[in-house]
Order: sequence, then structure tokens, then C-alpha cells
Amino acid sequence: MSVSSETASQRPPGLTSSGPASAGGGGKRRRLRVGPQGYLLGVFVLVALVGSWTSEFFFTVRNLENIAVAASVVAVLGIAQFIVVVTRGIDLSVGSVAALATVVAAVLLRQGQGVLVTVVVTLVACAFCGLINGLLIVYARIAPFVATLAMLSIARGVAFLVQVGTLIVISNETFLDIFGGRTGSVPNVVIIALVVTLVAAFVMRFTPLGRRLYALGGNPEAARLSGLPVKRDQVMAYVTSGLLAGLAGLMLAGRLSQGSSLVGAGYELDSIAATVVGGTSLFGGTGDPISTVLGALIIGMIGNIMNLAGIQSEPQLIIRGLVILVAVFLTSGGGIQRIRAAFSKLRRGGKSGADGGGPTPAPAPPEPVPAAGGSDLSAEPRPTPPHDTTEGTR
Amino acid sequence: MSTSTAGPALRAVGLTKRYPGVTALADVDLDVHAGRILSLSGANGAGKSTLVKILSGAERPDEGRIWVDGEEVHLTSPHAARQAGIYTIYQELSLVPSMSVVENIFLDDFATGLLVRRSKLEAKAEALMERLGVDVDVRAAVNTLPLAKQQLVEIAKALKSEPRVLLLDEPTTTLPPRDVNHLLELMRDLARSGVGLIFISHRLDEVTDVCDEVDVLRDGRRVGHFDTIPPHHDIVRAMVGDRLENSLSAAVAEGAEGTLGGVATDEVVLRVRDLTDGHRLSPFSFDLRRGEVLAVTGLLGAGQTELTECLFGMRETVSGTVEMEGRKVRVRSPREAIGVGLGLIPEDRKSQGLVLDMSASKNMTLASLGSFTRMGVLDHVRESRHARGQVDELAIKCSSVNQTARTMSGGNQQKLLLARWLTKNSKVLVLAEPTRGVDVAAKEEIYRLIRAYLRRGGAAVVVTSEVAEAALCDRVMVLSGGRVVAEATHQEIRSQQQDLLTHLR
Repeated sequence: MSVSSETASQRPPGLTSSGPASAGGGGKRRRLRVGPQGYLLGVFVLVALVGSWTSEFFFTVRNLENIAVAASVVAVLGIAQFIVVVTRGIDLSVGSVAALATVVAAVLLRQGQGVLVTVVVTLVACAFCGLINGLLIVYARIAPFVATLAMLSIARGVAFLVQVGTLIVISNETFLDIFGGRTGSVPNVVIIALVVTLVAAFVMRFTPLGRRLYALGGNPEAARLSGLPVKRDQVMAYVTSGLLAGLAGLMLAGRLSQGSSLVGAGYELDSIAATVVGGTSLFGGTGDPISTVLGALIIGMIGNIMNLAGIQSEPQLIIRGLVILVAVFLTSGGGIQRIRAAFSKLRRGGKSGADGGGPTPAPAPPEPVPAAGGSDLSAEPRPTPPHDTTEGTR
Repeated sequence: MSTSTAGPALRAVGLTKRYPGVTALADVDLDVHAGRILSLSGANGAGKSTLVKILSGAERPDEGRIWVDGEEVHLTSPHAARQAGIYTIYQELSLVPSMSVVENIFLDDFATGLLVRRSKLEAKAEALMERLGVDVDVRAAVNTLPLAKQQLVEIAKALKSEPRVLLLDEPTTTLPPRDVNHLLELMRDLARSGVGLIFISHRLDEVTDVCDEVDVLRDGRRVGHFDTIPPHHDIVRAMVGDRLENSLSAAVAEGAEGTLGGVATDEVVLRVRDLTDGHRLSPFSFDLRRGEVLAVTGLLGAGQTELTECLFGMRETVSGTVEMEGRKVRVRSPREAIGVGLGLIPEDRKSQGLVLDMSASKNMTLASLGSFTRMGVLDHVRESRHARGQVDELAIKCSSVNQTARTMSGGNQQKLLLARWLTKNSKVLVLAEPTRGVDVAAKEEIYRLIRAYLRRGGAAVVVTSEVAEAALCDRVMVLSGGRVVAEATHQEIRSQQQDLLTHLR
């Protein structure tokens, strides 16, 4: 956990291009919380800049739309993931549940059900998957990782069975219009993702439920002893996750005009990557939906840029992995503080002036051992490691 | 301080350890003789654990020297301490649960050895376990054994290296009585075989039963040494010190200000009858009146924690009734407890009380989100206005109400929790060790706030292992072995002081 960084990140002076000047003594007005989010925005802008240098096509309407459409499904799944991760959980089943959603929707439509019925039944089915996850985790005390891993397998298996045979083509025009079409010039999936993002952001920030979820993830025991309905909330988180995974499935079905038990494989990892790149700690209690969506967009942009640059898919995987690591290091690993401390140490240490130009910090802080605490306030530099030794004897 | 001919197995002189802001250990001398068992006694925070850490090599003293069998040693690491012949067994065992008894006993040797002759080790292990008088399959995985036997495996592991001094840090706390007796018997055997033992236990019966000498620590100093075993209350008196006397005389001198309470009315707010968990806690009853503060005290492990948990619905109760303002209520969960008007300031603020990454204001409103919600939406403006009001009222030091709880001091964190229940308008507060780990100034401040709370018509139960703190309250309940063994009013405490102390065991 970013324990040490948390204390140090009270007022981060800007390192990247975004201007987080407002942090300290701002007035009573609505305040943009600029912490890790500020850096995230910086990374976002940076990636976009790299994109525009890489290809002249990057900043075309068409390309940006591609990015947005591709990212919208990941964004919705990312929010599904976020809501669970914020409670210290994880949901590995989001991809499978999304696949299940495509199949259920396709089957219902093939049977001639109306779009409304289809959508409602699909979402309820997926929320039910989430409910089972939640009940297993809260009442059967199965670790979230395991319970949702099982659901990953089960949901996909059920999708196979429901599907009976290969993929099912969706031909219902209304359905395809809603989930595959566009309103004005904006693709509907983008609108859906946007709405989901805003609603989630609102819920997390302005409703008691959101507050309770943060508290639950931040300190479950404190939440319980404060009288919060922790069990119910935890189950709710998984139900919501399932519901949103179902919605993402509908978006996929609309885009692909088919239901297939094979779609969505690997999406669970993409959703986790989006959350984590968005600065959410897997230990719960932190992060926000908008950052998660930014994370999804960053990952999407990087893939797009590499496509534009004609990089083959295998190296792409490697680069993507590296970029995720760097982004996470910067946003949540306390990386900024360490790099800054390392720089200031360098500067103190001798003539390093030449190095000042690069804002893209190649993440090589040599030995950040004394750096983290060595800034200004923390007391007693030397006798720091007393507790570690005792811990080791357990 | 002359060196006698048959010197002690372990001699420490002038051990001092300072942490930022506190001196945990000040100039402590210690002699452990071969063949004798020394008790290390002291209340919480007396410096016992620091001393253990130093002797086990986990921490280095700032000053002081240590000799083993007349030879000076430098305990730079746990390994070095064992090399020197000092072996520490912690309350939490350091066994690998899934490995067998043999493997655990010889775990350190696996670090260097290449090939292991299993049969040879097994024979050795069996011999060791036999010496301890235990019948156990040495090939069995440790986690299949009962706790008492696991502990013996740990001791066997220690004996393998033939220690001069064996330090047992609260080995009996988690054991059932029968196994405790066996362990004490074993300790005597070990002593007879020439090992010097240091024994730490909160149960004075065990201390007086098994030990030959007693050292008492208080506030980081050695305040008493008994060459023979004294009566219980002499040990307790040394542990508690003049503080009880001092706080009592202070109370008299300052009038009501020296007490926490003094504003009790006749109206009973909380009536508890025969509440019990049917297990660790015998049925207990009390009436708490508006404005009254009741102390529940006892040595560590006497049942205070269980009592707190029963009151607040964290522990299942099998019988008994609770009435709040004359109405019978059921408290089966913290949620229900809060619903009927209780509030808990838990012993461990950080792990049980606060959401550390949340702001001060959010921590204050956590239990009363409903009253800051309008049409399903949190009213942030009203929330921070309320929080600022609390900050002013309780004199909480913070840069703004948005400061994260993690970055605030212990006393201020404590105040946040108090603010949480003031916000909730709780009628009865349960405070577990309210002043543990806060400095003197913060302590006074917290007392002041409790007084203010009582004066506004609240009532409080203070669960504390500090006798001096308990003596400040309107009434004191003394627990021992999960049973209420004594009760006294504030006025009676003074005359019955001696009596109360004897109950502390």
C-alpha cells in the first residue's frame, strides 16, 4: 500500500504538465481533488502527445472515435471492477459475465422477444451472477479471487450451454440501433459509457452508498463498528459489478451483432488494468470511477498508437505491459515522490544540471531506500528499521 | 555491583532505549541466574516488550551492556542473540504450520545443510520431545497439533541449541489451564537442568507459583526487585506505583475536577442484567445513570475486552438483558448497538476506529450518514460545516477538516472518534483504553472531553487497565478471570484501595 506516499502527498507541486496548484489552501468552492488524478491526467496528455507525434492520423475524428468506441466497453467493465476493488475485492468474472450477456441477449432476440424484455432479462441475469459472487464472498467467506474465478468459469460454461452450438447472429434492428448505432454523430456505446461513468462518479462522491463503500474498503472493521451495513454493501458491490458487466456485454453484442460465449476473454484483466492504471489501490478504499475511465482510455490509446505505428501484436503486448507498470508506478506506487526525492538528492549530490529537461522520468531511481522518508519532515533518519526485524520472527 | 564468583547466566546493566518522544527503557539492570526463574512484571507500556526485543536481538539498546556467563555479548540480531545463548519464545509462535515437527525443530539447520538424513533428525527430535515429556508424532505437521503441543515444539527448537537463558514472553496467555500447569512444571524442570529462565505473564498466580525472583518494571524503569516471592499485592503495588495515590490526592485537592464524573443523576440510562457470553465472561450486571461514568478495570486478560464486546454486540451473548432508558433492547450487532444509542471508542483507534485514508470530516460523520443525506444525496456543505463545528468544540488540531485522519496525532484521532459519537448523539459511550498511547497533555484533554460529554447528559463506561484511570470514575468494577470481583464508588476507592489492589490478579 502507498502508506508512506499518502502522508507525503499532501501538497504535490506539479511535476507533469497539469497544474495542480489548487491543492493546499483553496477556498470553499468546489475543489478538484488533485492528487494522483493530476498525474493521471498528465500521463493521459503525454500519451496523446506521443500519439500525435507518432502518426498524423492520430488526431483525426475517425481515429479518436475508434479509440473511444473500443475503450467504452473496457471503461464500463473497469467501473464494474472499480466498485468491487474499492471494497478490497476483485471480480475476475466480469469478462465471462459479459460474454454470458451477449449470448442471453442473442437467444432472447432470436426467440422474438422485445428489446426491452431482452435488456432487462439480460441485466437481471448478470446481476444475479454478481449476487452469487457476493453471497459466496460475504456469507460463505470464500476469498473474492477464488469465488469470482469460479464464476469466471461457470458463467462462460453457462454461456456455452445456452448458446448451443456456435455464435448466434443478432438481427434485431432496434437492438443493433441502440447498442451499435449512433446518436447524431456520437456512437451510442460512447454515450452509454459516459453516462455510466458520470452516474458512478456521482454515486461514489455524493451518496451514502459511495461513502460506505470507501469506508468499507478503507477499514472494514471501522465501518462495521460505525454501524454501517457492511455485508449488504459488499454484496451490493458485486451485484453492481455483475450488472455493469452485463451492460458491457450488451454493448459488445450490439457492436459485433452477435452473441458468443467466446467474446470478452481477457476483459477481466483489461478491467483490472484500467482500475489500477487509474490509481485505485487493490487494497481498497481509494480511487474513483473517472480515473478508472481515464485508465481505460490510456490503455486504449496506447494500443491504438502502436497499431498506427505498425507495431506487431506481440511487441505490443510487451509495451502495453510496461506502460501499465510505469503508469501504476507513477499514480499509486508513490513513484512521483521517490523520483522527486531521487532528483533532489542528485541535485544536492553534485552538478547534475544537464538532466533537468526530461519530464518523462525514466523510472530508474537507483536505491530509493533513504529517499522516501528523507524529504524534510520525518524525524530520525538513522534508526528506522526496528519493527521489520521483529516482524520477521513471526 | 561486585561480580560474585558464580556470576549470573545473563547480566544486563544500564539498558536504555529511546524512541522519538519516549524513553521506553531507562537504565534497567537485570540478572538472570542459571537454574532460577525470573519473572518480569509490569503493566502495559512498562517497558517489558522493549526489554524482550533487546534481549532477543530484535532491537539494539541505545545504552547498556549485556554479559552471558561473564562474557560480554552484542545482540545485533535475533541470530546473534541465539548464538550468545539467549533464546526467546514469543506468544505468537514462529513455526511453519504446514511443516512437520522435525522440520520445524531443525529449520535453522536447513539453511546450511545440503542433504538431510531424515531418520537421524527424527531420532534427535524424538529425544528432544521426550525430554519435554510429550508424546507426539514428530512426522506430523505442526498445524495438526493442539496449541500447547505446538508451543512445546517451539521449546524443543530452543533446547536444540542448548540456550543458557530462555525467555518466555506470555507463553500461557493462550493456553487452557491444564496445559498451563504442564508448561509451568516443564519450566521448573528446565531450571533444574541449569537453564536460566525469564517468564512474562499477566497472571500473578502463575508468577508466584513458578518464579524464584520478581523484577517489576514501570515506566521503563526497574522499580522493584524481589529475591523471594512476595504477596500479590506487593507486586501489584510496585506495578501500579504511586500513581493511584497521586491521582487520588490530586482528586481531593482539585475537587470535582480531579474526577471524571461527579455529575451523575438518579435516572438510569443503561441497565444491564446478567449479561454473559456463556464462555469467557461470567454474568455481569450494572446500572448506568445519566451523567455517570463507570470504570471497568482489571489486569490484562481479565475479561474487559469480552465485556466491551458483549455490550456493543460484537460478541454473541447467551443470556441477560439490556435496557436503554427503561426500554428493553436487543444488541446483537454493532449496528443494533448504535441504533439503541450506544457508541464505542475502540481500543485500537487505527485498526478498529478510523478509516485512515478518509478525511477528518468523513470520519466524524461515518456513523450518521443518514442525517447528512437529503433526497439520497450527501450534503457536503452541511457535512463540512458540522465538522468545522466539531473541530472548534473539541479543539481538534488539523489543517482543515479535509486533512486525512492518518496524518493526525493520536490524541486528535481519538477526538475524531469522540466527534463521531457526538455527531450521532449517542446516549452511552463505551471507551476502551481511551488514553492508551497518547501523551499527557492529550490525556488531560480527553478527560476534559469526557467530563463535558457527561455534563451534557451523556453516560460513559470506561474500560481501562490503568487503575489510576479507573479511580477517577464515579464507580469502579474490578474484573478478574472474567468475573466481577469487586465494586466501589469513587468515595470508597480511597478507603478500599488496599482491598481493590488485592483483587487485581
